Amino acid sequence: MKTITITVGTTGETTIKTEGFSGSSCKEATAAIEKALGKTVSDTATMEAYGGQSVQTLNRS
Amino acid sequence: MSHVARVQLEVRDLGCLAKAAQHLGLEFAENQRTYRWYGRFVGDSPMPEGMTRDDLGKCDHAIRIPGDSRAYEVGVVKSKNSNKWELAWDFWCGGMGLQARIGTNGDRLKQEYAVQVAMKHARASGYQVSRQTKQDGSVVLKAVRS
Repeated sequence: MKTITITVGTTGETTIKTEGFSGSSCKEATAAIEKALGKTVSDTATMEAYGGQSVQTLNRS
Repeated sequence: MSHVARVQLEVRDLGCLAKAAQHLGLEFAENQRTYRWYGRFVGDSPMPEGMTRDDLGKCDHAIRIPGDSRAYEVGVVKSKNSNKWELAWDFWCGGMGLQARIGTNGDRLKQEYAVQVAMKHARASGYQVSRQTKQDGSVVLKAVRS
């Protein structure tokens, strides 16, 4: 089961979280939503994706 | 693999903006070229970015409270340098009732717009979407696909 959880805060800022995707398909899955919403200000691979390491890219537009 | 992305909102989809307005009980007035405001810039607040005095009160579309001829209106203005839309309104005196509907800084309208955009794109990719409003006012969309 693939799940995308989208949380829209009270000022319109959005957080998108994916679960259950294999490989890099999760990024493809949310790319369209992210692009439609605006500018991605941070993108963090969660713990499970990189065996405990957290990778963050700032100001990716 | 999983990831978390944080996105800063930009208004690009007029259809979703219209749906968001309807959701808040407002009317999207297509091609309405002026929006109701105080009518005169009194200089008590900074000019919105990228706008001049002459731009105030002019728009490409508008969002208004149905049947309210006193409340100020939201101007939907095509951005000069990009494919974005800017929202402009006069917040003096609560915009004569407008602010109560769209929220401080238009936050309720922006939030609902983001919800509409996310739902549209998730559904277009074959997801089933459920919606829930949390106690803190944030909206959580759960998009599921087998």
